[in-house]
Amino acid sequence: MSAFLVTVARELRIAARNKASLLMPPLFFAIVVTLFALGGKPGDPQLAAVAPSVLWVGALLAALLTLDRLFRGDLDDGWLEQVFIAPASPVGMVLGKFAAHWLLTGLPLLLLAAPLALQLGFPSGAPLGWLLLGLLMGTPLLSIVGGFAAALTVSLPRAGLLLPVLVLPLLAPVVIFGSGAARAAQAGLDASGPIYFLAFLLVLSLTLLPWAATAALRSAFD
Amino acid sequence: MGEMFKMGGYEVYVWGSVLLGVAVYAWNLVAPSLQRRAVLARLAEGDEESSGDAS
Amino acid sequence: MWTWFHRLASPPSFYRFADRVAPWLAVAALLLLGYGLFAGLWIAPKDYQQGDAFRIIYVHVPAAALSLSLYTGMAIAGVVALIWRIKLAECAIVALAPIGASFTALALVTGMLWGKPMWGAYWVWDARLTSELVLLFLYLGVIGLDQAFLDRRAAARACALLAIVGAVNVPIVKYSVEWWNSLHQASTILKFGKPTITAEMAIPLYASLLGAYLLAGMAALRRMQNEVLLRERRAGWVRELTAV
Repeated sequence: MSAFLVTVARELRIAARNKASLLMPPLFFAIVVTLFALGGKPGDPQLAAVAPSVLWVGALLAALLTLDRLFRGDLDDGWLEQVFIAPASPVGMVLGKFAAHWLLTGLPLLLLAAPLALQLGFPSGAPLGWLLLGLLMGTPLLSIVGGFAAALTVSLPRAGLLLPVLVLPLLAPVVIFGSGAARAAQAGLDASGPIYFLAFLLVLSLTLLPWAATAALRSAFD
Repeated sequence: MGEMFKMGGYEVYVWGSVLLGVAVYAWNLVAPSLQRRAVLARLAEGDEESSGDAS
Repeated sequence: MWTWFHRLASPPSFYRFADRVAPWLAVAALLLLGYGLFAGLWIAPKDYQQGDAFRIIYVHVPAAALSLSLYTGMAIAGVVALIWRIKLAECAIVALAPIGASFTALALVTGMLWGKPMWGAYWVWDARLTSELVLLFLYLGVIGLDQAFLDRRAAARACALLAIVGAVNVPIVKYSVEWWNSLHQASTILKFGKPTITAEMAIPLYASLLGAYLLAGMAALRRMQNEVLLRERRAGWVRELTAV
């Protein structure tokens, strides 16, 4: 547990030193969604129909931006190696990295999603609540699954293009069920089914992927 | 016989699928051998390099 | 049994074993596939609902079955490679990915060619089709990851982890027809006890299935041999083999 807290605190400290880069994912998210709105006809009701998938894909791409650097710096400055030599469990460290990534990228995207949804003409009230609930469970998944892929490619000098290719298919179910819940709520249907599925995926990846990511990071040293 | 090839009007879909299937089967039959040739060529190169290091 | 298994797991004896078995697999696969296609296309009667279009089944079903089986095999090889560090299992992961990708692509394209006359559209965003497409991307991800590493062992370990994590998709593909209201028809052959098609239709299908599995097995053995050669290039037996 302490390795977890120490890692989160360290990540937040590093992020506080470089405030401008913190703003990049939310800014990117807002620009992507705005471009979609600009590309369509003004006041087109169809925009509201595609709003769930636009928001989900926008959040996914914004989260991808920062994944490439998730473990790279720690590998270069030797911190990662220290963690693996230290007696504390490296899984706690990996979980801390994931949690910090969600706090620094996922949470701002989640907060930004509500105004952007309304901007796209997505109905406020209950449907918006379902959309945000889906994102609340989906954005940690972006951090966990994306973090796993980042761990797989940490020792590759040019993983920039490979990383999205690995992450996007793994996250396809998340996007399908997340935007599926929002669309169901939009149509006035019960949206709890896809939300339960997202919760299942979240629990599953939270129990498996930190260990898989730890194994991937460890093999970067052998 | 001609009627067989028409496949009740579905000839494009049926024969298209069969053609693609045969192509994939053939690829799986041949591709490993092509890969073998590439591997052997690479090994031959590698051996030259290592002998060059030794000399 | 175990001693035999252990001897087989050593690279040189595996190499010789594969050399002996692969040609027979190829011959058997070609005979079965040839019979399956011939009988399926000419001898089997028309389907009363789908007419001659149902004959796509003789290409589509073996490809779809292999796309799932090969991924499952890859994930199992991944588990074996990570836990017991068996070199041959590492080779198997890398060897199975391109074969699986080719059959997944075939299943998708023949499915599209079947869907057009039956559903009126090449593609619908349906659970079965979407998850099969994700399966193709997962195969391509494994191939891409493998190519990105220079060190073969590191490549195999990364691919093993990715294959295992991606295996979540396999039950989704398999049961998507039952879990969601899918346009895709349910399985016709794998209901034991009461098959829903006649023997004249079923036997060529079984032959094609078996033939496709044997063909994939042959390709897997050959590709594993290639991977073994690459990894063991410093070993004496490989030098002897390639010196000729």
